[in-house]
Amino acid sequence: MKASGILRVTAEMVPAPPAADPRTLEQQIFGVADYVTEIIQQGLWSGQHFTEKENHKHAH
Amino acid sequence: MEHEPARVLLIEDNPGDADLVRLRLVESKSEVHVNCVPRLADALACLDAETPSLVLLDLNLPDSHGAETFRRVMQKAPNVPVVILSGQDDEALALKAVHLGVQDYLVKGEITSKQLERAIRYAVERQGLLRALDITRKQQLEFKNQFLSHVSHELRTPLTCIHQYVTLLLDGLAGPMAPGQTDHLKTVLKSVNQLHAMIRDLLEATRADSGKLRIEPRCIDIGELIQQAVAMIRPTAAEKHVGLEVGVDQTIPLVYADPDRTLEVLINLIDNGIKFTPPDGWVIVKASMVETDPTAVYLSVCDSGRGIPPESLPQVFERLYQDPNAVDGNRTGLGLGLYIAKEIVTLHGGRMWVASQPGSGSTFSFTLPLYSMAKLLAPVITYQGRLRDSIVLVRVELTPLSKSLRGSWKETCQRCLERLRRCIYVDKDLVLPRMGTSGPVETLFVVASTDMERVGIMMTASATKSERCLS
Repeated sequence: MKASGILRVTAEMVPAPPAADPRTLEQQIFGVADYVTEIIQQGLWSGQHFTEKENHKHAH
Repeated sequence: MEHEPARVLLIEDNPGDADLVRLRLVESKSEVHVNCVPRLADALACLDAETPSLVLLDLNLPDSHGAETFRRVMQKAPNVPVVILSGQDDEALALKAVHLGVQDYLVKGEITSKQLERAIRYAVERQGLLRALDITRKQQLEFKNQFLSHVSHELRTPLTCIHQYVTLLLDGLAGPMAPGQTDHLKTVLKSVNQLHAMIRDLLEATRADSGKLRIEPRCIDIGELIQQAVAMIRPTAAEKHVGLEVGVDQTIPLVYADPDRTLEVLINLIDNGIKFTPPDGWVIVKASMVETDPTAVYLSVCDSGRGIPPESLPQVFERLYQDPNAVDGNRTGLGLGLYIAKEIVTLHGGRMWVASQPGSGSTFSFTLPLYSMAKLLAPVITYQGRLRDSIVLVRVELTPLSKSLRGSWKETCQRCLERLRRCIYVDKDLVLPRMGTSGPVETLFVVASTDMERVGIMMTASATKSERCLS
C-alpha cells in the first residue's frame, strides 16, 4: 500500500474569558471569533506546513 | 363499526354562551364530547396535549381579540377544522376568517340545534376532504418531480453521445469536412448545447421544487467571482456588440456563499441582460455594501435593454415565465433560469428582485451574506445563554507526498473532509469553511466545544478514517 499524503492534526485551547468577564455574551463571541480568525490566518499564511524535504522523509 | 363521538374544543369566555352551545348540542342529540376553555392560552395548551375533531371559537377572548384569535388557533392546529361563533357586530370579520381557512361561522343568538349539528358535521367532513386533496396533490407533485428527474437523466445520455460525435467530426478526427458541412455541424452543436442547458435547468428546477437544491457556502471574494463570470460571457457580449462593464466596491469583505452556485446566478443574469439588450447597448455588473444591512453584499446586473412591462414584473421569477414580447431568437430556454437563480439566492439567506421601466432597461439585484466568523461560531460555542466552558481549535493539514498525485489530490482532500465531518458532533463542533490555501497543502480548521480528551478521541477517529483516503 502506498501513501498519497500526510495527515497532521494539531489542537490548541481557545483562551477562556475570566470568570467575572464584564463583557456581554455577544462581545465574548466576537472575542472568540477574532482569536480563531487570527490563528487561522497565521496558520494559513505563515507556511506552517511540511516542506518537500519533510514530505520525502515522511514517505520513507 | 362503532362511530366514535366527535371531540369539540369550545373556546368561549362567556359562561352563558358556552352553556347555550352545550344545550344546542344536547338538543341535536349529537354524539359530541365538549371541552370548554375560557382563554386562548388554555386553548393552545389543550391543542398541544390533544387534537380535537373541531374547534368552536369565540373571536373575542380575555387574552386575544379579533383576527389574531383565529390566526393563532389555526397556526397551532392547521389540520383541525374551526367554526367561529361570532356576534352580530363581527360577522364581517367572521366572513374574512372563512376566506382565510376557517370552515364556517355561526352568529350567536341565532344558533339552532340543527344548524350547529350540521355545521360541525360539514366542517369535519370538509376538512377531511381538504386533507385528502392536499395529500393527493403532494403525491402528484412528487410523481411529477420524479418523472422529470428520470426523463432528464435519460435524455442526457444520448445527448452526450451526440455531442461527442459532433465534436469528433468538427475536430476532423473522422476525416476532412467540406466547409458547408462544418457549418451544419456547428449548428447541430449549438442546438445540442442549448438542449443540454434546458435539461440542466429542468433538473435544477425539479431539485428546487423538492427541496433538494444544495449549496456549499464558503468564504469567497465576490469581486474575483464577478470577473470570472464576466470573462466567461464576454465573447457572447462581443459577438452581439453589447458593452460589458464591471463596478465592484473594493472594500467588500469576504462573502459567505457557494462559489459555483453564485457563478451560476451571475452568468444567468448577465446572459439575460445581453440577450435582451440591442447591439451597441450595455450591461453593467456591480457589487457594493448595503447601507441598511451591514451583514450583506448587494449585487446588481443592469442593462440598457427594452425593459419589462410593469404587469409582467411579478411573474418574472416564476417557473416557465417567458417574455411574451421576445422574438424567437431570444427564446432559447425553458424560462427556468430566473426561478432557479432566485431559489439559489434564497437558499443563501439572500433575496432577489427586479426593477424595470419599459424602454429604460432592467436591473436585477440580489443580496448575499457577508462572512462572519462570530455568526458561524455562535450556535456551537454557546449554551444556555453563555460561552461553553472549553473551546478547542483543531487544525487538520493534508500534504501530498508527490507532485504526480496532484491531479487526484483535490478529490482525496474532499474525501478526508467528508470523513472528518462524520466524526464531529453537529451541535458542538464546526468544520470552518476554507479561507484560502497555501499551495498544495489543504488546511482545515475545526472549532470543537469540548475538552482536549474528546478532541483526542475525535481526531484519532477522523485520522483513522482519513488514512484510508490517503492510502
